[in-house]
Amino acid sequence: MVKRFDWYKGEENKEKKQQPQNPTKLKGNIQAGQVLVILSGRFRGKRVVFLKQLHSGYILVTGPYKVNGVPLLRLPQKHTLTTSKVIDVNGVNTGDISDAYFKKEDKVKGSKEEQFFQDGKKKKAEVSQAKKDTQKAVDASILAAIKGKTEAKYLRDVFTLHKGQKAHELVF
Amino acid sequence: MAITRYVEPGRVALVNYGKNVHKLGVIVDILDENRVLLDGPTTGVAREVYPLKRLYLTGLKVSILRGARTKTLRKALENNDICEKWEKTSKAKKQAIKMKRASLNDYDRFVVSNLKRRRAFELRRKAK
Repeated sequence: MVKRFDWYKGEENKEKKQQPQNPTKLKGNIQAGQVLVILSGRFRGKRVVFLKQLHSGYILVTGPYKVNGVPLLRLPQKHTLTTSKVIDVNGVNTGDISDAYFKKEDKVKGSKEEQFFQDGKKKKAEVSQAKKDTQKAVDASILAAIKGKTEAKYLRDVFTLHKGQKAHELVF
Repeated sequence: MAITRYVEPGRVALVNYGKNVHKLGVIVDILDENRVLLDGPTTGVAREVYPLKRLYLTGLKVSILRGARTKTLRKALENNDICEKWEKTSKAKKQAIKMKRASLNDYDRFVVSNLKRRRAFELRRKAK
């Protein structure tokens, strides 16, 4: 029997995306529910709850949105500061949130003339209802766990250095 | 105001810099105007030469002879309950507070500032 060669692999045999050779190792043994401080970007200073590590190596965090206005966010761990506070996130299900959730939606295409006339009134980027629902679902159990407690105020508070505080001497 | 805390054998001193910071030691001998031989057998301070600049002289004193050996010093310290006397002083209490504050983590620091704000709010409300 002559071995059959697959010179041209068909659509069905397309190889699955490779696992990253060296998946990003998270520093400091952070666990789900750990409070992190975001250090750069739009939400710098905000304290957020760590949920999980995504396939791309980035970490998934949430405000929760109702508490401090931070939605489900994807960021490199390097842009965060780990605190030793852990919040109970037992009821949270982030199984279906992956890097695909953060993919940018395709821009509306139109002729150049149409875009020129539309530029006068810029449309505000709207968040899809699906994303709002996912946000609510993920945040629900976290909000229930911290309701009425100091933890809720803590997450609302923004981290800053005060007079006399030295970052290298602070314990987190 | 006259000086009362002399640099003398038996003077209990607090180390305020270096690897033995916040620990008590006893001056055992004097080298020159800047350095002393310090020993703290009950507090884990090895018998070593310390510059006076790194020490804070306390009001406590043990009666030992100049150059007393570590074993003799240990007995003298234990007989006089120096560690307990030290804990009662205000300097020791203030030091404990300082160390506690330095060890607070991010959440603890928030709890403290939150309590301070609430207290200030209540005081202002009562003052009206």
